[in-house]
Amino acid sequence: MKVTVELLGGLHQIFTFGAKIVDVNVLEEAELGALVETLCLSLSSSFSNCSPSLADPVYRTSLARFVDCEHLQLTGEYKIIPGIMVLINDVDWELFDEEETVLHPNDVITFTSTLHGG
Amino acid sequence: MTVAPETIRSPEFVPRATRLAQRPVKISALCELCHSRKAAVKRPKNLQKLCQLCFFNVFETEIHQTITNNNLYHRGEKLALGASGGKDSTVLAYVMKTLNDRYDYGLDLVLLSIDEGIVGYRDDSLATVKRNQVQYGLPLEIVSYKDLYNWTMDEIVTCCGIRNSCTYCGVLRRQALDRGALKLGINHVVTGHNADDMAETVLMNILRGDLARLEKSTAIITESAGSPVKRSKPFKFTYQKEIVLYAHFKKLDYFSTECTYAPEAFRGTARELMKQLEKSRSSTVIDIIYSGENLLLQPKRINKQKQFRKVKTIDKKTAENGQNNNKNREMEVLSDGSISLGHDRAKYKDGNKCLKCGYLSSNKICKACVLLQTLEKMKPKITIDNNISTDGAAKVLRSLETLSF
Repeated sequence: MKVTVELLGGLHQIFTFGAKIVDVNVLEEAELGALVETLCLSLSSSFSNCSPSLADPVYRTSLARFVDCEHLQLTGEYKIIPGIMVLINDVDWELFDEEETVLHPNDVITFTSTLHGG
Repeated sequence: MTVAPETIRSPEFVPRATRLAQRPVKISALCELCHSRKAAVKRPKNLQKLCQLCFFNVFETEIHQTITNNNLYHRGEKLALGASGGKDSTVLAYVMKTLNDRYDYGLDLVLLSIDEGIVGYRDDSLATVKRNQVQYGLPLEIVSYKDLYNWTMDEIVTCCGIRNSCTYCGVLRRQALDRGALKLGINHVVTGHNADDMAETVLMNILRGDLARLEKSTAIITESAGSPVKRSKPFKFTYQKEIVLYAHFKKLDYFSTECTYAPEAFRGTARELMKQLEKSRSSTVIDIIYSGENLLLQPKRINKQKQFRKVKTIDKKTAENGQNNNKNREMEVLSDGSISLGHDRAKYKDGNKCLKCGYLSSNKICKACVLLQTLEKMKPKITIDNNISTDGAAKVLRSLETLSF
């Protein structure tokens, strides 16, 4: 199943592909959390010399700009840090079930960082 | 959670609207105001679910009410809108122009930008401001650090390191905005500081014990006796999330990249704390501002006995020196080593002017002049021709950091 991810507010800079809009393949009926996991795992390939493990400081620093690393370490769940706004098809994800929202084919998921000055 | 083998690629170009129309509709609540359209926003202030159109309406009306309730502006006033090209200032320019037209404020709006001279950051954001100038049809004035202080931020950073960059930049920008406004003959600067920024500042001032600033930091309009320039923040009660959503839904053209220099560590931590608090209880932001507004500082107690003793000893000394008529016994050593004579302490409260540049300052020499003086001392005496290392100093550092073997 294909969904489209938009990375705005400077978020695209932490991913290798560097593009603001990317298509991502996830399983049918996947939850938003699974998509975040996919994105985070692809993050590791951006540094040829680092492994996708939280012990790696380089990986961890860039990951910390997107998900809560401590929570991940404790529970294995990928949780978006507060301060990143998520829209699913231009609707605030707080109106759905946040990380547990079930995605549908061709959904557009927008991540916008509000953490830096404006 | 299992994940299919990830294949990430750029999509073939399909307009956003078409993409959105293609996918099945998700079930979500209806708008709580119009009860007819699908809700798109959950307002952090009161958890109300609103559709896009009602959200625009509520957002703009709230700012209009903030402006009218506080009597921020008067008819015919000329305003300089601080424009950095970021989300806040872009929304500020758009909303101020919209409201000015809709409610006929009769305001004369000008965009005012500061060029700090940060290659790879400010030059790109200034391009955004220039596009905004055309889009909203407002005149634009750009004031640069280079013209005002003969320093660019890139030069300052090469001179004194990346750690202090925000201190320098912040102090210099405050002054630059005022001077830019005065140059245009305007004495009112409007900035896009939002509720999150203000709550963050209140929190920082509490954490630092900076009581003098704590009292001032929540004022929606700041005016000092000696300063010719007023500052106001019409977004004081507007959440950052709503500003970003507004810009996103209105498809406003804004620039969003982090400054290439290291962010101020303390502010960053305070911001993270704020965001976490906001996540667990979203009214926290407004509540902190409310607390900040209503904090009353205990007036400073003057130790009378001590003062009396001090005067006495000074009297004795002056008598010995035979300077009986000299009323002003206190001396102050200025930062440049000179000694100033004869001023009453009480004078140095508000509306005092810097001895060097004439800008408003609470000390004898303003912060900017002090900083610039230390900079001059550190400036290398010999320069190499065609030296490009000052251009985008932080950018170079960053690219070096990511290099690998």
